Amino acid sequence: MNHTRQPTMNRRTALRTTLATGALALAGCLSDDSAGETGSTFRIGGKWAPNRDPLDGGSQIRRLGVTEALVSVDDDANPAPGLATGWERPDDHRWEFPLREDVTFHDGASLDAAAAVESLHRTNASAAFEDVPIESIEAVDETTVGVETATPFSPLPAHLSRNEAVILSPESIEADDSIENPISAGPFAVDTFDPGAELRLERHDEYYGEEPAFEAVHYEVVDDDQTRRLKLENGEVEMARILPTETVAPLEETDGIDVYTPEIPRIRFLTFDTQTEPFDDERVRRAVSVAVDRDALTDSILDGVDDPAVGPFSPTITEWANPDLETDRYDPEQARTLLADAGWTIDGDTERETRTRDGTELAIECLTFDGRDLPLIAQVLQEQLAAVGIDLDVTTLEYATMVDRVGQEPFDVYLTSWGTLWYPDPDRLTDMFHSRAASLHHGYENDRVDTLLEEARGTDDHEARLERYHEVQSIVAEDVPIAVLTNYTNITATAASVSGYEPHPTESRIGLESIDLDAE
Amino acid sequence: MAALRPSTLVERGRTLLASRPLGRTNAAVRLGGAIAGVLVVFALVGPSVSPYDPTAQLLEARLEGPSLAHPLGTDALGRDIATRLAYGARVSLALAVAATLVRLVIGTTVGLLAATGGRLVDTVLMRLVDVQLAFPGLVLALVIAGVLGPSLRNVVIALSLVGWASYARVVRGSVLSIRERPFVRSAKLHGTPWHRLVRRHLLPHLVSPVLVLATLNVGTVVLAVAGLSYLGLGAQPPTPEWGTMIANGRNYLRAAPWIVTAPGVAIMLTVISFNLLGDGLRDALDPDHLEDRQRRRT
Repeated sequence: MNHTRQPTMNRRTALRTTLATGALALAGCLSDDSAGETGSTFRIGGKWAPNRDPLDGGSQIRRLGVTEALVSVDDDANPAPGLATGWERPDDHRWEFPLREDVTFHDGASLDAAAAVESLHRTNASAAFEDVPIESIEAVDETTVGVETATPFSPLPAHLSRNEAVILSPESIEADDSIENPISAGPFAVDTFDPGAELRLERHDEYYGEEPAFEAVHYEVVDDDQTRRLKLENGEVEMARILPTETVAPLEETDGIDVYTPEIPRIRFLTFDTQTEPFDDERVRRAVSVAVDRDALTDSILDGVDDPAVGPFSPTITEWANPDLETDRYDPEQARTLLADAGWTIDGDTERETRTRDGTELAIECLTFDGRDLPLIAQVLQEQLAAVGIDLDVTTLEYATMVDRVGQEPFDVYLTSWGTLWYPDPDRLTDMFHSRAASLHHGYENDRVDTLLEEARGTDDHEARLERYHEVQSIVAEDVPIAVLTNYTNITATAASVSGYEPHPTESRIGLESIDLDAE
Repeated sequence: MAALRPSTLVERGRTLLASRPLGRTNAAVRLGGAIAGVLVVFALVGPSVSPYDPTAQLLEARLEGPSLAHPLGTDALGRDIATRLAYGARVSLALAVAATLVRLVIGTTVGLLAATGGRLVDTVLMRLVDVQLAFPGLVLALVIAGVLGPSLRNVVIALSLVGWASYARVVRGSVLSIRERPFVRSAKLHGTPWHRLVRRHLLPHLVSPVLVLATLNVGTVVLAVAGLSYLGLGAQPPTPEWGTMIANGRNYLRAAPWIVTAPGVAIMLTVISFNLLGDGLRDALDPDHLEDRQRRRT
């Protein structure tokens, strides 16, 4: 090989290039704080990246007020009028949704039944609506949408409030059925969209509701918790969302910052594989449940911000929560007795020794994913269960890997968190506990539970539903296919000058149109 | 056939060391050696001296700053960081040495085979080496560890599989040059069998370049193990491991900076010490390299 050097660049050229690049980079950094972002722009730092297509999980564009659905969710986590003024149920299978008549899409078209039906057809054909028994969606007249279900299905309005069921202008649905630019009828329209990085919105001047105080909204994806917090402290954003619990105390003491800690309908819980040893025995599941000191858990690593959970629903959020449920009282002695009854014994009398049955150790694997706090919670469980003779091995995976694994092969137990009202109807319990419809992988089967869930889904008698859902909660508290651990708090911090922010229980909206910045 | 006397290798190594003056590089070797020594002692003695269990949680004492009871503070679960650091040193150093040894054995074998096995073998093996060197080591290790699943054992496997190429190259190069030297030629002319030729005449000359490479490598591997564990592919809780400790402490950077500082500094010291040691050894064992450096300085 010929190694003669070709002088491609001399030192001076190199220096010039470096200087030029540096200057450009510097200019780039400076222009990031560009003027024009002040005053009438509201800046938000969030953890989650927004998606263009509501069917890919349209929660961010919904929360930010781009998209709206026929049905909204009120402050008590119940379905409420949205783009529809309400709903009627002429018979068991039929629903009618009269539309508001003053609604204009971001592209200037006005909302009519035909547009809503086209958008809902797309939703209904998607995997997200696979389990919703919709038979047909059609325009009854120019301003009424009619929906027919295959079976009597009371949770329908709740499903139509979901982020996937938002109404898009027919213009925004491309020929190949994809969404490039979500055009809906919310208070803000998409200005520029950089998935994974940021979303800029501009005010929709023809919004039918309250006119937003801001001309623009800038949502920035800031994955790192500490960076989000720093950005708020430095005044680079007015609102930082989904902060970790340990930031609550220091931020509350920081001048110029307000912290909001609303409880949301979300629980952290253990799901047992009730089909395989050792958790096919209800006593062993119960033993785990009572061996966990939930108060110690929430007081320590959750900084006293989250509370121990009593069941799938929190009574402070929704009336669907069974008020008679008692948290499994922390009782390690009872756990030891239950385990001994189930045949898992300790030979010696050493504390913390692993129990055995027929020579097999009570060693279980707990799968979890790298979500906030979960690995740390798993480690606390490890310690608490060791105290009653259970050897818990923690494996932390990525969320998708964990879900794949528990769906495909036997496991012992997995630790996860779930939104329990992400469509605002207690029929969510079907997702959790119905022997054939559940998307939790416990393999739990209880005919009474199945019957109650099916009956409650069919009737729209409020009292009858309440009674049935409460009973389901009592039964599963007895059978322990899952061990509920803690509730969940959404931590949002804003600059103190932000007024009018009211955290929403199911987070379906931030309510930007009601927010203002006080003059300083 | 006269078996190789076990002392031969050692003697050769010794003469090699003794015949080259350590000179001014002595300082680097000493400093590196001293730090590495302290770390090893810390790893060996620390766990038995500490009154704490590295995995025992004391939730009441979480996030406490350095104090007399906890010289390096406690972490988010109230565990003593100094104790975990000492146990973690065991894990990190043991894994690093293990992975390095495996790399060394694979690499040396491949290098020897390539240099002595004929043209076809050489071409095939060296292309393999090229392929491996074409990927950034850590990225490849990340993929392997990711596929195998998270555990310390898999981290060692991943790091062993990716790092041997540089050994193979060094060994092959050295053998190619040595094999033309008169003493090897004369040994060949005398009909010395292949295995004896390798053990008696080739291997001793490979000791110094491979030793230097391995020493430099230990630091890199410590860093790689910590990196993979930081990403969640290595040690699983509650195993104390430096990378995992940093990952766990990251969220508390503002409130409890000591959680990440201690393992961070430990990793830094380890890498520096092995680099100094390796650099020093190279200067001491490889006079050509030293002369070259001196020439460049003047």
